[in-house]
This record gives sequence, structure tokens and C-alpha cells, in this order.
Amino acid sequence: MNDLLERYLYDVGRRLPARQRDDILKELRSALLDMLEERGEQPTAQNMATVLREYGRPADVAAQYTGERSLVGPELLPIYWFVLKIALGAMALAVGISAILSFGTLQPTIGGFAQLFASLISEILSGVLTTVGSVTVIFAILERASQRRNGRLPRQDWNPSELPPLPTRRDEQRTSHNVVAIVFCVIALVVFNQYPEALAIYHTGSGGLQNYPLLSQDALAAYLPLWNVGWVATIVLCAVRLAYQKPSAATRLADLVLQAYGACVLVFMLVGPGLLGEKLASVMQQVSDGSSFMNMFLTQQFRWAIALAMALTLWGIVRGIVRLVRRQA
Amino acid sequence: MEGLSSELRRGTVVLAVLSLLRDRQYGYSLTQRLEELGLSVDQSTLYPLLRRLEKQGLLDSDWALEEARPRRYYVLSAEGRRTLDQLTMEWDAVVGAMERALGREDGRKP
Repeated sequence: MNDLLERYLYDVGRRLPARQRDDILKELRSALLDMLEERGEQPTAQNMATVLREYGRPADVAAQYTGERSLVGPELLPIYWFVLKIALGAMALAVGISAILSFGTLQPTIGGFAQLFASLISEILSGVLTTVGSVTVIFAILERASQRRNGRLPRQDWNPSELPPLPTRRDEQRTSHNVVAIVFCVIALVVFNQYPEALAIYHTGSGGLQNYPLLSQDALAAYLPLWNVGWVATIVLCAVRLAYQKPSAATRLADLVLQAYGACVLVFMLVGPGLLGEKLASVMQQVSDGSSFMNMFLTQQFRWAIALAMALTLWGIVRGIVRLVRRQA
Repeated sequence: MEGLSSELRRGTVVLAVLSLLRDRQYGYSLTQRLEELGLSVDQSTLYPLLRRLEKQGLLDSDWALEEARPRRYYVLSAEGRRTLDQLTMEWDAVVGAMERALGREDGRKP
């Protein structure tokens, strides 16, 4: 019974302006419990369902609070947010890809890098404004055209047991994880592809400003295409997960495939060209003066770290498969 | 017919609510009082109405937390009282006019 009540209150609440939501729901909860009590019967889910059905559909109830006319009414509001999220995700993807594909004439210096970043920010900003504006205008038109008269649809029967389940804390965490992942992947795509030289140590020595790239040319040539595919795939997967909010068997499977891909890339990196930039390596060699640790580091470079990452990824894949199988069972 | 009937009632609900809230009450008890008087109001309409009236300064409200469950009590404010007096005078005027319009003044049938 409480579950039904809470689901109802959540469905009403998400259509209300955030500031008034808690206060309104507090009063509403109290009122509905009073109504239930007054019937004199046991507080069962069945009776609660009857009370809720009589009280009205969440969209209608919310509409009474928000007033006769809002730009996007309570019925359309959840769909509006859904579409807006997808549109913004797609826009972010487009900006990221255009940043990769554009062949700028910017210098491979800190200044040039900063300039690229600034233009990226301004592109994202204008993209956001355009996207939000277009989607809002479209939904405002839909709202005007809808059946609403005086802010309410004609009375209909509805079924409280069809109320969607409550979102959990995990859902909220997932959303922020997905958003962060997308942001990082876009940044990685831009930096590694447009300005690999920016990933370097700069040192003013006898010969002027010296640039020591962190990654070797061989490594970049061999691994960057693989990393790019992984980053783009991650962006797509996270965008899909954001759009649908609840994970499905398909997204879980895609996640596993992506992790498996990651493991393969790590294997390749284990046996492929070393990551450390050549200039940097030679400098480190000179400075180390033959110490055994340094020698070992220079030959092994980051392979131990790669091996560890691979072990963790494989562990993650195994767990993922087990969970998937258990869910289907 | 239902539309016209509810349109007729809708105008009178505010006056009834203001009048009843000379006594401090919470939403559900107010519904019951209205019911007893033969003025049934949709609950889902009443609570938003109470909020609106409070926002307009005609009601004061406070949360009573000591009872079985938290309840929001409403009562007429000073300005609400003034508005009630004004609206009551207007109501008397309207009733008089309507009786004449329906041809029923002085108890006569049309």
C-alpha cells in the first residue's frame, strides 16, 4: 500500500515545480491517508488504489497546482525532458566529432591548445542554447495544440497499478556516471586527435623551449585508432543509457562487449610498441645513469600497469556475464 | 449540462471556503464541512485552491505536527476577512439581481 502511495506521489511530484514540490506532497500524502482512514476499512493496496483512482490521474492533479497555462503542461513534461536529454547528447556528440574532423591552423603550443578549448566551449554553449530553444518551442506548440482546456483533460478512468516504479539511488548515480563518461570521452577524443603534442612535458633548456611528448609516435600510430573507436562507442552507449534511463539486457550486453573490446586493446598494448615518448625515454636514461630500477622501468614502461588493468577488466567482464546469466535465469 | 452546472458552482466555492475558514481547519476537515452543507468540492481542486488563496494573502497557514499525521491548517487572515465581507455584499447583490432576472422576486413564480 505504501509503495503504491509513494509511486503516485512521485509521479505527481515530478510534474511540479521543484520549489513547491515537498510542501505540496506532504499535504497530499496526509490528505490521501486521511481519505483512506475515513473509509474505515483495512489499509490495503486495493483500498489505496480505489482512493487514488478517485483522486485523479497524476497529470491532472499536478495540473491543478501549476495553474491553467504553462508552456509545457504536466502531461508532456516528462517526455519533454526525455527528448531534451537525447537532443543534448546528440549535440554534444556532433560538437565532439566536428572538433576532431576540423583541420585547424592552430599552433601545437599551449596557446593554440587553449584557443581550441575556448572555441570548443563556445560551440558547446551555442549548441546548448539552440537545442534547448528548439525543443522547447516544439513542445510549446504541441501543448497549445493538445486537448487541454482550462488546464485539464476530460475525465478518464485510469489504473493506479500502472504507475511506474520508484527510481532508486542507483538510477541517479547511473545518470551522473553516464554524463561524466561522455564528457571525458569527448575531451579525450579532441585532445588525443587534434593535439597529441599537448600531452608533453615542456622544458626551457639550452636549446630554447623543448617539447618532450609523453607518448611515443609508434604508440600513438598503433593505439590511437583503437582508443578512438572505444571512446566513440562509449559515448554512444552512454547516450543510449541516458535516453532510456533504465538499463536493459541490450545495454548490459553492449557494456560487456565494450569491456571485452577494452581487454583486447590492452592485450595489444601489452605486446605492442611501448607507450613512453622516445625523447623522454632517452632523457630519463641519461639522467638515471644506469640504475637498475630505471632500466627496468624503461624497458617495461607501463606494461605492468596495463597487465593490471587487463586483469581488472577481465574480472569486470566475468562479473558482468554472471550477473547477466543470473538475471535471465 | 455538467459543464454549465460546474461553471455555476465554481464561482461560489471561493466564497464558501473563505466563509468556513473563519474557523481554523485543515483541508480534509474543510471538505467534510462543505459536504455537510451540500457544497461538494473535488478534493483535488480544493488543495490547490487553498494554496492559491494563501498566496494571495487571504489565508494564513501552519503545519500541525503533533497529530496522527502532519496536517496543514488554514485560517482566514485579516485581509481575508476584509475580502470576505466585500464578497458577501457582492453576493447579496448578485442574489437579488438573479431573483429579479429569474422573475421570482417577492416569491412570485415566473
